[in-house]
Parts: sequence; structure tokens; C-alpha cells
Amino acid sequence: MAVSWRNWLANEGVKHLCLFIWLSLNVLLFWKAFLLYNQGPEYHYLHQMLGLGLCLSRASASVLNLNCSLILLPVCRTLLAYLRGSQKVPSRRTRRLLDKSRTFHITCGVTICIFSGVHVAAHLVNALNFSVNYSEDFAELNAARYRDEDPRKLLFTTVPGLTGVGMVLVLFLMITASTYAIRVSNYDIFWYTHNLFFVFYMLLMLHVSGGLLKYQANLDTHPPGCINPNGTHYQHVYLPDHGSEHFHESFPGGPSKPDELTQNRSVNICMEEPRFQANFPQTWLWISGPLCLYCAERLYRCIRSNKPVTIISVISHPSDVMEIRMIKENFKARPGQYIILHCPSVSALENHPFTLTMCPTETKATFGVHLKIVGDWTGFGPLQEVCKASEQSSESGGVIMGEMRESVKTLKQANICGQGPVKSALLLELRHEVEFALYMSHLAGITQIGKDKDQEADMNKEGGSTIITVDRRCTFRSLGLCTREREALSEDREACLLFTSIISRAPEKLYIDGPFGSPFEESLNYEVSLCVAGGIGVTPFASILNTLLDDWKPYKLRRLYFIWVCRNIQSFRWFADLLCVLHNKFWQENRPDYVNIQLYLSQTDGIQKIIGEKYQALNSRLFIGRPRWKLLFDEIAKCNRGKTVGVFCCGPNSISKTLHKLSNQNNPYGTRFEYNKESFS
Amino acid sequence: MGQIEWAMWANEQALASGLILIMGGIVATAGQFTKWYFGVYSIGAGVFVCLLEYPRGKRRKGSTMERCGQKYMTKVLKLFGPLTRNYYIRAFLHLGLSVPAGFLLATILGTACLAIASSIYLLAAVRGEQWIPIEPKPKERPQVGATIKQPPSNPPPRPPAEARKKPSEEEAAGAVGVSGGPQENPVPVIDEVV
Repeated sequence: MAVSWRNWLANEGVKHLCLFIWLSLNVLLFWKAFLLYNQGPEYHYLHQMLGLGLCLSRASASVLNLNCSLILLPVCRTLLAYLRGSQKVPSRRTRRLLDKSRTFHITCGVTICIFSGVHVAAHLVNALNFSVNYSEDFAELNAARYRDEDPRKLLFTTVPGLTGVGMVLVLFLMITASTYAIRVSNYDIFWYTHNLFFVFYMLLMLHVSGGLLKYQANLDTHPPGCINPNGTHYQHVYLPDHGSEHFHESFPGGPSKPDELTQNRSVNICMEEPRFQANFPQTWLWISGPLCLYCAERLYRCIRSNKPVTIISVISHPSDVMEIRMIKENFKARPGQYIILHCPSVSALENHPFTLTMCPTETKATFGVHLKIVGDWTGFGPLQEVCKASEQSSESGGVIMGEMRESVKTLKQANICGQGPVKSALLLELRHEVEFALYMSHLAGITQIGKDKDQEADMNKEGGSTIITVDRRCTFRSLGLCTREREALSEDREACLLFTSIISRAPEKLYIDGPFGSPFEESLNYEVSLCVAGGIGVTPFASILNTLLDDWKPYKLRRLYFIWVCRNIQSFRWFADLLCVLHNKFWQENRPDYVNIQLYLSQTDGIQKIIGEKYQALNSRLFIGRPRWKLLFDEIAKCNRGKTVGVFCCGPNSISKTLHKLSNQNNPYGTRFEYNKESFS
Repeated sequence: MGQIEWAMWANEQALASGLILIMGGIVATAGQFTKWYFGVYSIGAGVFVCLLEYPRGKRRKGSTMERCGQKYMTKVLKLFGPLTRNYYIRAFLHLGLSVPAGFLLATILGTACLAIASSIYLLAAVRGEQWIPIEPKPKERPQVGATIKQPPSNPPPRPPAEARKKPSEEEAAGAVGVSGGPQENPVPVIDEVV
């Protein structure tokens, strides 16, 4: 199918335009600096000493200036999130540019890498030339102290040299840790080394303060290449192979007939010796702005995320997914945004981003995330314990002690080992404590009790979901289990951890940073949106659906096509309730075509499956096999002629590439598909 | 922090240092600097390091991305057995290789980078990591004939498999639920040959 130019321009045009502008800026800066050092009179003597190396090093330095300052801007995520949401950026086209911030950051990074290589190579040649072309006449211009000084000494004993070496090593560490393979396998290495950027910038500030390369300050009184009547002829000051050869030309009688001489351009009279001055470090002007902005943002994020969240409930879903619902004061988020979770008791240094599946609204301040359990941070071990423990730790006090002891005794008697059954049994026992929350708070001296209606402790076991809900208002005290009882539980690690954390004094804390923007926020601003989710990639769309459930009228969106592809039929249960409720709501409001749901089960073992008996609306929309994207696009184009459809994809790369290609293609109905995607790591 | 595999990062660093050594060596030899023979050494050492580090080792957990065309070097490296498997040997080898390049200005950065790589390898070795070659998975040939199970015993119309096998299971959407057992035709079927 032919690429439609209109579609291509809409999808890729602005992005490529910005790239072109950035590229031309770089070329312009490089060219200007190169010409200045190649032909500028104030660098005449320096250029004679150093040759091409001078021009290359200074030209690459100016490109580095630009990129070191630009690279910090795309990572000011709070600022970008603010720009996305505010009315300051009215055009959707400009907002879509913000989606490419990560790509731009990487482009600047690669440019810094390449031009640092050029800069370093050129300066190494400069160091060599400084030492070889040393001459007494231009001693102050030369970085070497005597002739044939070992250039390695120049490198390690001058401030620019030393800081330069330091920067190269820091850059080496940062770049080797930023490759795709490392980011995908060991994200921590990437994150920790990338934070060395601060060292890099400090070294950079020192590097340019060295003032090693000087320009000539007195051009009017000493035009370069002029003849000193009483001394050396400045034009041929040195010839490298003959040592220093001075052409002595003495004018008898001093400078006579100055007018004739100054008119003759090839022979000028020098009034005085050349004076050299170090350049003002331009780099400070380039990088101070973005660096201050970025540091301010990090500080703001630090302060904002200092207060821990209150975990309301932890829900375990099938296919290794855990949902955490929490509350935080003054937390506002738009649907589609993501937050970064930090749990010091699981890992002091790791932060992980998760999309919000439920955003706080005016009526309900709860927000939540769904985590898929992979790896050692989310793994079935540390984080789950922490979350469950922090729930449980909210209820305690003198009265529960008795109940807890009872539970412990029951377990010991039953002599259950292993994970699943004991865990559920344990939690079932603890559930009774929920009713004592009132009494506990009375004990703890807290006056106000409130229970959010949708957080009733609900123990339905359908589909393997075990929902434990706790009203977390009270502080807790020690349960006073004796050591022997604790040891008896050590066979079951989960139970042991649970009890240990209940016994310990402080409840576990979870911190969040954010919210940060993502391209999925735009889906509410299109009249028609196509949202494609693969597996756990459904999370940004879940928050959109939750928002629509709350109130759909204020948004521009009038039709949503929701495609969800999963491998496992149980995965659909994560949001089956939400989808059914939403479908029902729109049916009641006589807008049955608002949300069009299609669920695909990509891997099947031949047996027809249904999601659950009560999800009839979803069962009839379940297809076996992979979606056929071309047909889907044609259908959407036909039903929405002439409109602009926003395409959003959160899933594997293969789907994303196919959708991108299809969005650029022509269709006979005049429908425009605008593709929005942000890549993660 | 505890699960970081340092060897992978050290591998990237060593590969990058090898390239830096090669480039520095080319500049030194082409520019005919004094002591240019160090430049030649640096090119040789760089090529050796690049070849040694090209095949990526297998991660302990999860899948590893292979570098393009690395299976040939993997075969060569496997031949050396413990010499290539052990990271202590690699660490000291890299340290040793990096020292001579430090004598020349053009290659001094290669020395520094390779030295860093060797220290990360030492860290990896101390934590007990080893180089495990990535084996190509044997391709499973689908056997024709094994996938075809017993042909159906009843003529159409036939209820779907579940209704035939498990009459107690809940019906799938669109299933024709006549009876749980084999199809009972209401009218006897006579083959009429015309």
C-alpha cells in the first residue's frame, strides 16, 4: 500500500523538521568556529603553532557546548508533564513532539560521544604540537613550558588536561552502561552510572576555566604577520625542522614613512608586541541554565516524594499481577501518567516506573498501580511482603494479640507447609481483625474513622483473586509473640516474614515520585481513538477507562476502539470488571458505540475458552488468534470518514511497528491516523 | 543491587576499549609519532581484545541478546575452556595488555579504559560469575503425521470437542448441545450411490 504523504507528514513531519533544525544548528556552530580559528586574525599565531588540530578541537567544542546544554532539557520530566497538561502548549502537534524527548536525549548523547572523540583526538595532536613547536617568542601562548616537553605531562599537569581525562573516563563509564543490552538486562548499572552526569558537568566547568587557548588582544596595534622594526619578523617565526630561525630585518632609521608602509598590506609595522588573553569560558553560559533547571527539578521531585504513601489495599490478580491502591495528600494525576515507586525496605536505591491504572478524582482520592511480578524487585518475596505487611501493620493493639495467638496456634496444629494455602489461611484469619479496626483506633486514640465504601473487606476467591482490605489508620504495637512461636513459623517463609514485620515497630514505607506525562494522555483529546494494548501494556488504558467511567462528557473523545491482545486467558481478569461496568454504563446511557472492545487471545491450545460466566459482554468480544490490523484499520477508516483518529499502542515492538506503518498508509475514506507512541527503555 | 551481573558491563567496556586502542594505534602509526611501534602494538592488542570480547556471555536469569554473528567466535572461545571461562584470567590479561599502550600519548586513553574494564572483570570474578557460551537452540522439526490425531468418528454435523469429551463442562459460546455422547442421528444414514 502506498504511503500517503498527508499521513506521513502528519505523523513524522514535525519530528523530522525539528531534527533538521537541530542538525543545521550543529553544522552552523561547527562551521563558524572552524572558520574563526582557521582564518581569524586573533588566532593567527595560535593557528600557525597548532594547525588543523586547533580548528577541529574548537569547532567540536562548540558543538559539544550546544549538545551538553540541550541534552538536559528532555529529562526534566516534571516540566514536560506540566507542559503537556497546561494550556501553554495548545497545539496537539507540538505536544506530540514531547513524546520524542527520550529519542532526542539519546541523539544528543550520541553526538556528544562522537564529538568528544574528535575533540580529544584533536587536543592530543595539539598537545604534541605545543611541545614540538615551542618557541620563545610565543611562550605565553604555548601550554608547554619548554621545547619537546613530554605531551603526556601536558595532559596530566594542566587543569584542562586533567579534567579532560576525568571527563573522558566518566563518559566512557556512562556510555558503556547505556547500551541497549545493558539497559534491558541490568537497568541498575545504567541508572547509577548515568547519575555520574553531575561529576561530568562539574569537571566541564573546571575544564573551560583553564584558559589554555588564548586570543590576541591587540590586533589594532599589532596586526598579525607584521614586521617588528627592531626585532624578529613575525611571519616566519619558526620552522619546525630547523629549530628557531629568526629573520632579522632592521630598518635603518626606524619606521620612516609609516603611511606608505601601512598602505602596503603585505608589510606592516608592528607598534608593539602581541598580547594574548584567555577567552571567556563560553561554556558556562551554555550549560548553567539547563543545569540549574535540571537540579531544581530533581530537588523539587525529591521534596515532593519525601512523604510516604498510605497503602489502602493490595490485590493479587492471576498471571502474576499485583495491584496496589494508595492514597497521598495533594496528589493529582491525569489518566495515562505514570509514577515511580521506591521502597527502601526492598531496595534502598532502586526506583521503578509504573503506569497509574486508577487516577485520583474529585470524589475519590485513591489511585493505584498494577505490577507484573518479574525480576527480584517486584518478585514474589520482598515487595509483596512489604505491601501486605504494611496493610496488616495498620491493625494491631492489645486486643488482637489474642486473636493472633489463636491464628498461630491453628497453623501450628494444622502443620501446613508451603506457600499458597498457608498464605490464604493466614490472611483469612487476619481478616477478622478488620472488624476490630474501630476498637483499635479507640485504643490508639484516633478519633476519626472512615471506611471507603469500595474497600469493604471482600473475600471472594473467584479466579484466584484474594482481596484483603484494611483500614489503615492506627499505629500498631508489638504483638509480643514469644521467640518459640516465631521459630515454629520459620518453615513457612512467607508467614514468618509477615509476622516478623508485624512484630517489628515501624510499618514499611512506599514512596512515589511523579506523576510524569506520557503520550497516552492525548487519547482523550482525539475525537476517535484506537488504543492497542499487549499484555500488561493495558495499564495506561485502564486509567483512561476508569476516567471514562467516572465522567466522559468533559472530554473531546466520542469513540474509543479498545484492542487488548493477551497470551493467557486469565490475564483478561485484571480489568474484566472494569470493562463490563463501562460497557454497561454506556449501554444505559444510550451510547453503545462509545467503547468498542475487542479482546484477542493470541496463544491457544485449541480448546475454546471463556473469561468467566459473569463476563458475557466480554465473551462475545473475545477472538482467538492475532488481530488482523489492516482489516481493523480499514473498518475504522470506513466508520469514521474524514476524521483524525489517534492511534495509541502500548505493547511489543512488532505490533507497534505494524501500527506505525499502517498509520502512514493511504486509505480511500480520507481518514487520518496519527500515531502516538513512547518507547520504554 | 545484589543481582547485578557485572560481567556484562565489563564486556561492553572491554569491547569499547579495544576499539579505542585500535583508533589510537592507527593515529599513532599513521602520524609516525616517536615510538610509533607502540601504536602497532596497540592496534594488535585492540584487535585481540575485540575478538575475545565479541561473544556475549549468557546471563544467569533471562534471555541474552546475542551480538550479530557471534556464534563463530563462541565456538573458538569454547575451545579454550577454563582460560576464557574464568574472569580472573581475563581481568589480569586485560590489565597486562593495557600497560604497554600507556607509553604513548595517542593510546593512553585506551589504557585507562581497558584498566577500568579489567577492574570490573575482577569484581565480576570475585562475585563468582563465569562466561557461559550461548548455545544455539536445536530447531524442533514438526513431525508430519504426529499432529493429526484420530480422525473424527462421526459424520457432520458434529458438536465441538468438549461436548463430545466432557459432557459436564460448561458449553462454549455457539456450541451445539444435542447430547453428551456420540452423535445419534435421528434418521438412519444410507449411502445412496447413483
